Amino acid sequence: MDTANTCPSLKPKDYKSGTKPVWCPGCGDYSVLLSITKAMAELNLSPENAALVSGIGCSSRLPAYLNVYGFHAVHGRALPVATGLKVSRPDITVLAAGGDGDGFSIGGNHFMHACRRNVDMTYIVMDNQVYGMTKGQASPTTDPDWDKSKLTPEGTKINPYYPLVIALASGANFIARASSTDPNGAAKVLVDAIRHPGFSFVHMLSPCVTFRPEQKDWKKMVRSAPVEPTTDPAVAAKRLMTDDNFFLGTLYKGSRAAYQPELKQSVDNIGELEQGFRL
Amino acid sequence: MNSISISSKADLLARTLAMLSETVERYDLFADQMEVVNNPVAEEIFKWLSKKQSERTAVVEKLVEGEDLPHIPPWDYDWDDAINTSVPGWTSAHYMMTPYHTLSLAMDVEQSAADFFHQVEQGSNDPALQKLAHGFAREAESYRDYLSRERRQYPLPEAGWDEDQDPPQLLE
Repeated sequence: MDTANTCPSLKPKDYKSGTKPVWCPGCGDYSVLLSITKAMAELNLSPENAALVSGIGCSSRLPAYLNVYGFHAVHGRALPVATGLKVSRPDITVLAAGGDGDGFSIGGNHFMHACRRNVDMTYIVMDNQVYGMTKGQASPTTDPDWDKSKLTPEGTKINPYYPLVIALASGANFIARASSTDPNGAAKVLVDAIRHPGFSFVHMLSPCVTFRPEQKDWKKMVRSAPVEPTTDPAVAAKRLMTDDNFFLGTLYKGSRAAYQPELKQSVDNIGELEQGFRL
Repeated sequence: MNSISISSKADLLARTLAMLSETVERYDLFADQMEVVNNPVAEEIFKWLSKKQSERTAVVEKLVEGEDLPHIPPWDYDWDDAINTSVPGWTSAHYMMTPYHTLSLAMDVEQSAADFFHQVEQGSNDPALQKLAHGFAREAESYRDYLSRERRQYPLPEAGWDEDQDPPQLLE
């Protein structure tokens, strides 16, 4: 098992900030927060050497609830901020997180190019197939016949976005799916994702109990993928194209070298830095 | 009922301690959630459950004093989903949950814990381990029965208990 096996010095709760989450009771994001803190504890991460960057949306509230460095970026822009952070501070562990609307709609272009750049970080997208924060509109991953929003009373009638396929085609080095209905299993996937070099993408199923209450049934629908992670993109492509969205586990582990530009010497005083920004 | 194979008393004690302490954290989390959604009755019950669970945890902590417990990664815990009370599902928290629901959730946790310990008992040939697992199972069942008696003071919620006259869904 490619996971941590040493005794953690910090407990999962040590990674929580103490700020009370304001997600709806029953929301899958509580469980994702728990998985992230469990993964951080298993990896023995020092809070001062880790950062989580998010976009906008319910799930993007995550940085406020963690005791690591955090940045609540603008809508869809978690990945460019996280990329800049990681290339300038390659010594720290960088995670990016957000929802399906944030990551695949307004941030969709950043997602493709982050996969392509293959900077060493982990991107967690909590997918509930709806825009929850704005009261329940169809998102890129919503099924075409979902007709509960007044904006799409007959459904969107367009194909949903397949993030794992896009990630593979764009060059992500690690592709996995986890579920908030299995926080302990999700913690293992996150440990593996963070440890794997390059850009790791974790598709995290996380039900919205308020606007998609039927998603509570995901707990009964998810199951472990009956396959080992492949290193062959062709095998992975076939696997992901025939995937029903409920197989959990690591589905692809690539071997591309992570992108890390050579860093210029850092400035010694703030005056030099200001000089660089002078118009 | 499937059996669960656990290698030693220390292994079982480590898992039991993890189970109890995680449940304390979850009851605290649920109490916070109920405070945020202005459900003070459920909040108070979750606080009470957390206090009770802390007392039970302290008993096991006393039991393991001086023991060298193994570290078990969470993905190897092997217990039923109902113990993972933060898992979204039909048994998880609801912003309009009543005392009856709150105590039912805790009873589900105890039943799952008892099932886990019975499975450990069945999966072991070590009499000392079997005895310990049996004792934990009996304790969880006894606590479940206690919660059931506590629940009797609250009425069974009527159909439509979750109908919100001021729902979160806004017209677009």
